Amino acid sequence: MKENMTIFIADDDEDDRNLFVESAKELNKDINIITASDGQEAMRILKDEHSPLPDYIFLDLRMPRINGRQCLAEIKKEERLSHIPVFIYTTSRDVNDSIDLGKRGAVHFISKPDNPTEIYYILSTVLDAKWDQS
Amino acid sequence: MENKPELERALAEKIILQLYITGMSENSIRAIQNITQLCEKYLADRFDLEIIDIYKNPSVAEEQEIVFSPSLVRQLPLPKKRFIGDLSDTKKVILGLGISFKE
Amino acid sequence: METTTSEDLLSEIEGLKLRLSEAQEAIDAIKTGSVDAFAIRNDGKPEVFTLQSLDYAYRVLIEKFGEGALNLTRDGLIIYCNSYFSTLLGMPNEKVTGSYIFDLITDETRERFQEHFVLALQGSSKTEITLSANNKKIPVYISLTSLQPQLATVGMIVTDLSEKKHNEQRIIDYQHRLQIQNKIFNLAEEIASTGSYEWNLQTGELAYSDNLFRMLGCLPQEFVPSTEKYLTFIHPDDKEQLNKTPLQLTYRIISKNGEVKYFRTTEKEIDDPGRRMIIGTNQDVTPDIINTETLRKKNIELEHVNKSLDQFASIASHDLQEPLRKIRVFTSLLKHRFDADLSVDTRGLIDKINASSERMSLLINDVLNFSRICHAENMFMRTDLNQILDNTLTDFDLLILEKGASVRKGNLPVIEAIPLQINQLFYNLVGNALKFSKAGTAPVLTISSRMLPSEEIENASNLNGQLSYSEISFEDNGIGFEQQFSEQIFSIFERLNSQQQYSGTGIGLALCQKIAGQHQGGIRAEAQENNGSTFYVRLPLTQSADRVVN
Repeated sequence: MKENMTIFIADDDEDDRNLFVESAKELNKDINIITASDGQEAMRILKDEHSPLPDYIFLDLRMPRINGRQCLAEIKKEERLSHIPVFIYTTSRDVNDSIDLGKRGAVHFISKPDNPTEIYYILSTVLDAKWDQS
Repeated sequence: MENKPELERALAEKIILQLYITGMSENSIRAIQNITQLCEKYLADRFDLEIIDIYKNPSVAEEQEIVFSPSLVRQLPLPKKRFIGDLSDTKKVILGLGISFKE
Repeated sequence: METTTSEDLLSEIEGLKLRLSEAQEAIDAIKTGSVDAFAIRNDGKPEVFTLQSLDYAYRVLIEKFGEGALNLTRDGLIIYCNSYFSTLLGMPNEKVTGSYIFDLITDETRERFQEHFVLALQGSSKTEITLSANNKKIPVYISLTSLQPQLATVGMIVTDLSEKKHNEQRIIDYQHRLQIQNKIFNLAEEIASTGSYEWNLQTGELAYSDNLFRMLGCLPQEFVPSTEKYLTFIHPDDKEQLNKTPLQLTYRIISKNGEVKYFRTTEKEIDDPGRRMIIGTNQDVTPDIINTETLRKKNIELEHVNKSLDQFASIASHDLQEPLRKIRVFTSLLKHRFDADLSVDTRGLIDKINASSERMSLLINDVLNFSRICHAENMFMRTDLNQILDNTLTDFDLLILEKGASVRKGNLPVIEAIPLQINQLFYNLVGNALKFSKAGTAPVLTISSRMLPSEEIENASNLNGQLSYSEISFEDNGIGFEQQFSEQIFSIFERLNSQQQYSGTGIGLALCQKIAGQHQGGIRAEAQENNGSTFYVRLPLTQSADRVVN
């Protein structure tokens, strides 16, 4: 695992955000986590050149104002951000969504697990792997 | 016959004929047909034909004691001549009336 | 002086000879039948005598007449009648002759006859009476004439009016029927909201039926029909249309009282010799047009509503699932974090909470699926049922293994279907078979199919007689159920077992039935308590023509 990894998560659900952060910290207490609670805030933060570029972006699909799909589109348009692997982290279990977002540039589609301990294992797998952006 | 001088005279005058019939019989019909044919053929316009139905005019018997149907009477020129029957014997009628044959 | 000379004598002889020859001639003529009659002066009164031949001619005339002829005495005794008359009465001539004319006349007309008979004794008279004989009533026209002075009798000529009367009656009948027909026609026009017209191309006359006037909002025959007048009723926007020779045309009119109506005009030309006419009907199709419009609008509305409902269902289910997920997440967390501190009881309670929320989740999914079946876009396509079955069995891989279940598959047909729905159908049936297995007995599932013979299709009220069907049976050796519940189980939310015994939402079989119905098929079940069950799914090989097939 990379040292001083920065991951970004946008999710409007406070509980889910907290669980995610907790699990990430459990994995590596030095992980830097940036959070946003809606799409608009997410894009504001990501586009801000002063904030650190995250190594990984996690997006919830259903968010107020600007949703995950729209964020993904914007991120891919942003030259600065387009190379960052984007994971869709959502409650949706719809296969069609997975296919669709894969086409739009998301590297992986993660369904939020019922058992929060699973988040830990998911993250460990995901953050360890090499994600080829081509 | 004593007709010869009368014949000459007759040729110059009209012949007055009366045909007595009853409207209902074959004889009467034939008589009418025969006399009209005869007149047309031999008399041209030198005749006057009266057809009298004795049923309708029984008074004709007043003058003549008896009138048969069908019968033809030449009133003029005198003397009166009478032919009884349907007049199908043309020769007899012509001779009797004193008409010359014009073939 | 001497009275007679020899000349006188000769002349007298000549005269006598002549007269003799004439008399002889007359006698000969009589003998030979060349004369028919003679008129003779008798006591100053002329009389006519008829000989045989002539009399015969008259007889023939009277007999062969096409009319009845009678000779009556002043008392009305019939002394002669011709055969026409006796035939008319249908009586033998001998019977008629010698009877009284009054007996042959109906009571109703006898008085009239008597009046005219009296008149006729003085001259002549004509009238109409009715003869009566053999129960026949014969209407006749009679002409009575006194035959005085020749005969002291009254002659009567009888003309049969039966034919005439018959024809008169026929005319009356026809007129009556015509009246009725007209009434029916007018009524029919009213019922069908039709008005018709007749246009004589030769005379230029135009005639409208009563109902056409009414349809225009006017009283029947309120005005003299003319093309110009009709044009004044046409809706201004539609006036152009009528310039084309209309054989069938729909346009609007504005009636006298301002109502806008839709008329459909159909015309036909009649081109018989001597009769060139155009006849047409105007049908008030306003309700049809309005209905079609209304229907179209309602359909659009319905589509919108369905779309909204669909969206609503998706979103609602998602929103409903969220809190459940949280329940599961946090109960998991509870157990995970406080594992050491929790007593068995507490853990049990937490499990119950979890289980409930899971069940709720399933229920929401099932309900969502169920609602989707009703108005999803139904794209039928070529579906290999064997493949669907295999996919389903794969889904249950784990469970089959766990239960040690064995599956026997028969050959299933390829049909026109919605694959996703068939998938759900099979999933539920296989799932049930595995779920409701007997404790301690390995489940055995047999899936087979057969073609339904046409008698069975006809006898089944829920199947389309025009299609051919395959029946796929899912047979298991599980706990079964009592046959009396075999229909109930397909009701939504109906369960035969409690939640504790067997999990499930109670929607599964209702969903199966709904799916089968969507495909113009059906599902039924046969079972015995504790002795397994078989579910028979009937699906058509092809869908009917009005369905969209990919």
